[in-house]
Amino acid sequence: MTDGTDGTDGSSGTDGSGGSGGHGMPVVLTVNGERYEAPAGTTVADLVAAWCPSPKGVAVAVDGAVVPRGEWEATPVTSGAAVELVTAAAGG
Amino acid sequence: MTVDAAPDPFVVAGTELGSRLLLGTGGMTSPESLGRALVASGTALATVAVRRVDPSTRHSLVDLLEGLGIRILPNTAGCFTAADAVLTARLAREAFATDWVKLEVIGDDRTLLPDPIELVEAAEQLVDDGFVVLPYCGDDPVVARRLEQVGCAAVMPLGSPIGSGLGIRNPHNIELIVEQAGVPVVLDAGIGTASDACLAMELGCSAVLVASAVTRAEDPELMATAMRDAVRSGRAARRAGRISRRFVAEASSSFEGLVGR
Repeated sequence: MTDGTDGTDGSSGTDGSGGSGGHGMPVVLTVNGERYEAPAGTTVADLVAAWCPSPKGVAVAVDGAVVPRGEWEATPVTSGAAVELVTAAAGG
Repeated sequence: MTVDAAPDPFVVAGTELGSRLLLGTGGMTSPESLGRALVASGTALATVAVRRVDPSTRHSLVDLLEGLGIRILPNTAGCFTAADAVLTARLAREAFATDWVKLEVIGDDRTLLPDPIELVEAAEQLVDDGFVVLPYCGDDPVVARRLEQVGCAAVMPLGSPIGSGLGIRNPHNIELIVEQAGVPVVLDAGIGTASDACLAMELGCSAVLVASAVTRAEDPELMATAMRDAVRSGRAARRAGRISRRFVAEASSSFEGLVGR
């Protein structure tokens, strides 16, 4: 599990855990396996809006745990987090 | 159009499904082709895989299925461990607002045969977590029984490996599974053409799941029609009660009234 040790914001974060851009610095994380830089204060909802044509049919996992849709707005993304945005694809 | 006998509903976990033909969406060449095949099949339930969002995709599979009134059955395709399958199922539940999941845990990436140990483990966890679990399994009656015992809503034994088109390799085992099962048995994987689907129903399966045989056929829409008819025929034949197999002949014409006798 990552704990934000490779965050490049240079601060330890105001809450002591992985920085969420506490000083306005961008947050560096992994989204769908790719390195991604997000503005300070970015939430899961913001990531979905940036990456997905529509939030419908989409689910999110952060560091291997599902983030329920109702919590997207309230969940900030932290440095070093591994985020997966998934939806339906032909298969099965 | 054939006349059916008494009502013959297909019920899984208390939900009546309007068709005994389930369709897998994997292998389809285009959304338009998939849409035509889905309509031609008359299916009420279609499987989808759970994959990373592709920001460049124009079409939505969810919208396509919802627009056709077809229920989505998410699949944990691509998972090799119980842990992966459980996470995938939970993501699918969030994404598609359904408790139903086709549980697929693969043990070998060449044959795509299920790993029965990881499969039963994952099934138990998902049942405990409130899922309606439809597990894709091998044709081993012992594993099928274990899956039912841990609470799966159906069992889905393969006829032969996924995409192989080899039909039902072990009809005897499928009959054994059908005989002992208290939940619906859905023949899933390896169907190659209509007669395979018909045979599955004649053996007593409640339904069949077909993907490659339709999506990779030269004419998917026509094959979907063939599968729809095959499933109906096989089911009717099963309900009609076939004649026994005999070692020698049994005359169908009486010997009475023969000229010259």
